[in-house]
Amino acid sequence: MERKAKKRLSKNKKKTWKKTDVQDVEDHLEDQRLQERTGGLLAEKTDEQLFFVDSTKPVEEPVPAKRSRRDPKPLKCHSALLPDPRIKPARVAHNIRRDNLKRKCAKKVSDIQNDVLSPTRKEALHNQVNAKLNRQTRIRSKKITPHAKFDLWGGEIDQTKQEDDDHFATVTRKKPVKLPSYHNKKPSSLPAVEVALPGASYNPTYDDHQQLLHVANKVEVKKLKVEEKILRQTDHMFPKADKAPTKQDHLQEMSAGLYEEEDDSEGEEDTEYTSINPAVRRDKKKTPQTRRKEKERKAKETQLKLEKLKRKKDTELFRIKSIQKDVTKSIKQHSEKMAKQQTKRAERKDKTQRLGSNKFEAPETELKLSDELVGSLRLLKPEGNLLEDRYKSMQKRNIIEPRKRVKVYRKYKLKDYKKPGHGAQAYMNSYKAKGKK
Amino acid sequence: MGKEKKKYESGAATAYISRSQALRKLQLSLADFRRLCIIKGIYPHEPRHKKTVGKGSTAPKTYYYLKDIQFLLHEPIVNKFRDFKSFLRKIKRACDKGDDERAERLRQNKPKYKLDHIVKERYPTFIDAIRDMDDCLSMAFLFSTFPKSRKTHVELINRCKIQTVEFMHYIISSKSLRKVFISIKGVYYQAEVMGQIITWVAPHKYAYDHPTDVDYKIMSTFVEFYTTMLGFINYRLYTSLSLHYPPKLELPGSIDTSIGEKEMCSEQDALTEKLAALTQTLQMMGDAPDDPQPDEFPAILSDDPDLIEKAKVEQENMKKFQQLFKGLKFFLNREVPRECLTFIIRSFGGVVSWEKSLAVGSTYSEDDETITHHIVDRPSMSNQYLSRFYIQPQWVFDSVNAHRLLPVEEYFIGADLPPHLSPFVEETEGVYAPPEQLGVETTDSGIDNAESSDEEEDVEQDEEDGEEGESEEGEDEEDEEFGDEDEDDDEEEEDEIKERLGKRKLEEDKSSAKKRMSVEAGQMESVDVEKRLKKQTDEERKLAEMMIPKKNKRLYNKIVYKKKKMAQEAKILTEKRADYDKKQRKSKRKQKAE
Repeated sequence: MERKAKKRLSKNKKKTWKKTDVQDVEDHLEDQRLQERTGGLLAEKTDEQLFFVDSTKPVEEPVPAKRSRRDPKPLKCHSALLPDPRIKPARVAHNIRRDNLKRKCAKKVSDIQNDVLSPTRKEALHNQVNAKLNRQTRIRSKKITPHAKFDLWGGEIDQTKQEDDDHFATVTRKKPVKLPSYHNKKPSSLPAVEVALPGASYNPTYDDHQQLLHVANKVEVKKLKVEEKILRQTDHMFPKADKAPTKQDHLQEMSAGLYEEEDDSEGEEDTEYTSINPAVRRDKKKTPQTRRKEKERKAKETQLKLEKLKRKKDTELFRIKSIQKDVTKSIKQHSEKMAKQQTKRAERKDKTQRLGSNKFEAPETELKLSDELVGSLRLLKPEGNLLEDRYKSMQKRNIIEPRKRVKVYRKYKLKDYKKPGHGAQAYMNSYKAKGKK
Repeated sequence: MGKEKKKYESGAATAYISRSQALRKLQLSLADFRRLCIIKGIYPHEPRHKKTVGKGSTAPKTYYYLKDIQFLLHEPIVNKFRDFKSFLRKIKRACDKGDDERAERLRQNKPKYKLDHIVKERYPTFIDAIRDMDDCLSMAFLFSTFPKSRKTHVELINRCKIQTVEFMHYIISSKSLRKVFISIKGVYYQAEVMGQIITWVAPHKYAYDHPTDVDYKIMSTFVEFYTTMLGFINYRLYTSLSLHYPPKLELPGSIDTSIGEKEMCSEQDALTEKLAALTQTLQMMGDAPDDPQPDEFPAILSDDPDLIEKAKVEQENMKKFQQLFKGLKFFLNREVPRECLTFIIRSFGGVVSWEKSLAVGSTYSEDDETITHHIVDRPSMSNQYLSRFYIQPQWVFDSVNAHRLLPVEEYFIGADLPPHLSPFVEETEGVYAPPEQLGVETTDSGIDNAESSDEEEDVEQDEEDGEEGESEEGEDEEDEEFGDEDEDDDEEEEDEIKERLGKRKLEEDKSSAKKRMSVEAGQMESVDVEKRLKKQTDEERKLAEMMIPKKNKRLYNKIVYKKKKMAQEAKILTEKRADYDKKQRKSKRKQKAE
C-alpha cells in the first residue's frame, strides 16, 4: 500500500490541530471493543482456543496423468469408434408384451374350443388362415433363386392356342406378338470375346511380345500424328513472340502504297473496266421481227433434231450387235457395282457405328513392357480391367452407345464435419465458426 | 393430280425413331428404357441417311428402329416398371408418414419382374442360347469376383457365384474344356458344349479395382439377364448329363470338416463352399450311364469309308485328350491359383487337393504318398517328397494346350519356364513353327534318369541312320504311357527299349531271310487312313488345277509360288533347328563322358 504524503501543517496553532486524522486510532479502539463484546481479546487467547484440527478429507482435483513415452498414442482411426455426442442413446421400448399374439388370439381360440361360432364365422376364420398362408407362399415363390426350376426349352408349342379365334386372341392379348424380321440378328459380326494376342501371355515368346508392342506402338504413333497435326495447324500458324509484328510493321503495312512512286500506278490507269454482262441499252432492244425469226429458227432446229433421231432409230436395226454389246457391258458394270456395294455392306457390318453424340474410343492395348515381364504366375500383376474390356467390347459391337460420365452437379457445397472423436466442444466451436462466416 | 407428297412422311424418316421420341412413346424414364432395351436385346442403329432421318439435321443422335419400339410397347415388363415407380412413391409416402406397418406390407409386395419369357423369346432354341454364351459367361465370371458394394448388389453377385460354379461343374463332368490361355488380362477358356465352341474370360483372383468410366447400372442389367439365362442353360445341361439340379455332391460328408465349421457358418453355406471348391464329383440321378459308344453314323453323312474312319480316329484322340490327367494326383501349394487349376485338372480327369487349413474342400493331405504332382510356384522348397514331381503351374496349362503330358523337367521348381503360348493362334500352312509350338517331342520323356536317358540317346543315334518314323512312333508311345507311370518308370522304360531293339533285329532277320524260299504267316495289312486320304485329296486338287481357266492361272501360280517359298523357308529353319538339337545332344553327351 502506498503511503499518502502528509500535508504540511503548522502545529503551533490550535486551529490546525482539529484537522489531524485520527481515524486509524478510532478503528483500532472500535475493533477492540467488538472483540471484548464477542468473547474476549484475541491477542490474549491461547492457540488451542483459536485453532482446531481439520479431520474432513479434502476434495482432490483430478490431475491429468502424465503420458509416458512408452505408452502409445491412441490411434487416430480409433476416433471413429468413440461415441458421437450428437447421437442420443437408443430408446428401448419398455412396454413390449411378449404374449401379444397370444392375447390377441385368446378370444378366437377360446371361441373355437368352446364351439360357439356360427358356421359362417367359422368359414370366414378358415378363409382368413388360408389367405395368410397363401400370401406367404406367394411371396416366397416370387423370390428369384439362382437355380431354374424347369426346362425353358422343354415344353412343346401349344397347338390349341393357335386354333383359337384370331380376333379373340388378339383382343385378349393371347396372340404372341409378331417379332420384327431382324429381331434375333446380332448388330455386329465381331466375336463376343476377342482373345488377347499371344504376346499378352503372362510368359510370352520374344517374337510374340515384340509383335504386341508393335501393335500398341502403331496406335500410339497415330495418336501423336493427330496431335502434331493440330499443333501444326494452330500454334505453328502464328509467329513466335520475337518474330511477331511490331507497331512499326503495322504502320508500314497500313501505309503501303501511299508514298510510293507513281510510275506503276499510271500504267494501270490505262486499262479500262469491262463488265462480263454489260447492261442492255435501249437501242439494242430486240424488234418483234428478230424475235419471230429466232422462234422460227428454234422450231426448225428441234424438227431437224427429231428427224435425225428418227433416222437413227431406223438404222439401229442394223446395229443390233453393237447394242447388245452395250447392254452386256452395262449389265456387267451394274453387277460389278453391286458386288462392290455388297463388300462395302459386309465391311460396314463389322464396323462400329456412330450411335450417339459420343464417338467410340478403342481401349488401349494391355501390355507389359519387356522389363515388367516376370515369367511367374505368382509374381504376375494383371494389366487392364476386365469390366472395362467387356464394356468397350459391347460398345464396339454396337450393343450399347458410348457414353461419357456426366459430372454430378451440386447446387450447394456439402458441409464438412469433424470426426466425433474430437469431442463435442471442438465440434460445436467449429460449427459456430462456420456459421459466423 | 395426285395428293401432294410431303417431306419426311415415308422412307427412312419413318423407319427410325430417336431415343427421346421413343421415351415419350413408351412413357418410361431413360434409365428404365435402357434397362428394357438391354433385357429385350434391342440395339440402337446408325441410319445411313442421317439428314433424312433427322428431318434435316445431321446432329449425331441415338436412333432406334421404329418397329423395335413398337415391339417394346407390347412387353408386359413395361407395366412392371411403372408399378415399381408407383411402389417407390407409395413406400416413400408411408415412410415419411411413419406408417411402418404399411411400409412393411408394401415391401413384401414389391413388384418383381421375371425374365423367363424374354429368354425364350430371344433364344427360341437351346442351341441358340448356347451359341450366345460367351458374353454371358464372361460377365458372370467377372461379377462373381466383385465385392459387395453400393454399385453391385449382393444378390446378383451371389447368383453369379453359384451359377459359374455350377457351369464349371458341368464342364468338369462333361469333360468339355479344350483350351486355356493365361494372359495378363485374365484367363481365357475354350470349351465345346453341345457341339458349340464357346470362349470366355475369367479374371485373375486379385483384389478388384473398380474402373470409374464404366456404367455399373448398364452392366448389372446385362448380368441380371445373363444370370436368368445361365440358370436355364445350367438346368438343361445338368439334365442332359442326368445330374442333379441344383447340384448335389456325391459324398457330401466325406470331406473332413475343419474344426468348428458348423458354428462358423450355416450348413447351406458350408455346402455351397464345398461345391465351389470343385474337388468333388456331382451326384447322378439314378445310375450313371455307361460310356456312350462312338456313333456308327457320325455327323458327316458321307459314304466314304475313309472319312468315317478318320472321324473315328479323331473321336478316339479326343477321348484320350479328355482323360489327359487321369490317374494323376495333384497337390496345390498355397501360393498357386486354386480355382483355375482345380477346374482345369479336374476337367481332364485328375484329382486335386490342398492344405486343409487353406480352404474348404481339401480331399487328402500333403503327406499322401500317392500324390504324383505337387504344384509349386516358389523358387525353392525345403521338405520335398521323393515320390512326386514338384512342378510349376504352367505345366498344367501347357500340357492341356499341347494335348499331351509334357516333360516335367522344364517345369521343375526354380526352373526357367518355357514360354506360355497362346492356343488360340491358328497356324497358317507352310509357316515355320518351332517344335515347342507344334507339340512335337524333341527332348527325352519327362523322367529324368541319367542312365536310361543315356541309353536312349544311343538308341536314337542308331535309329537316326535307319528309320526315323519308327523312332518317333516309339517316343509317342512313351508319352502316352507316361501318365500312368510312377516309380517303376525306369524299369519299364528299359523294357521298352529292349523290346524295340528286339523288333529291329527281327526286321533285319526278315530282310536276310527274303533270299530263301519260305512261307510265312500272313499279316494284317495295316491301313494308313490319313495317307490314303491325303493321296485322294491330292489327286482331286490336281484335277481341279487342270480345270482352272487360263485367265486365272497366273494368279493361281502366284499363290502357289508364294506357298512354295514359305515352305522352303520353313524347311530351312526346321533343318537348322534339327542341326542345333543334334549339336546340343552331342555336347551334352560329351559333358557326361567327361
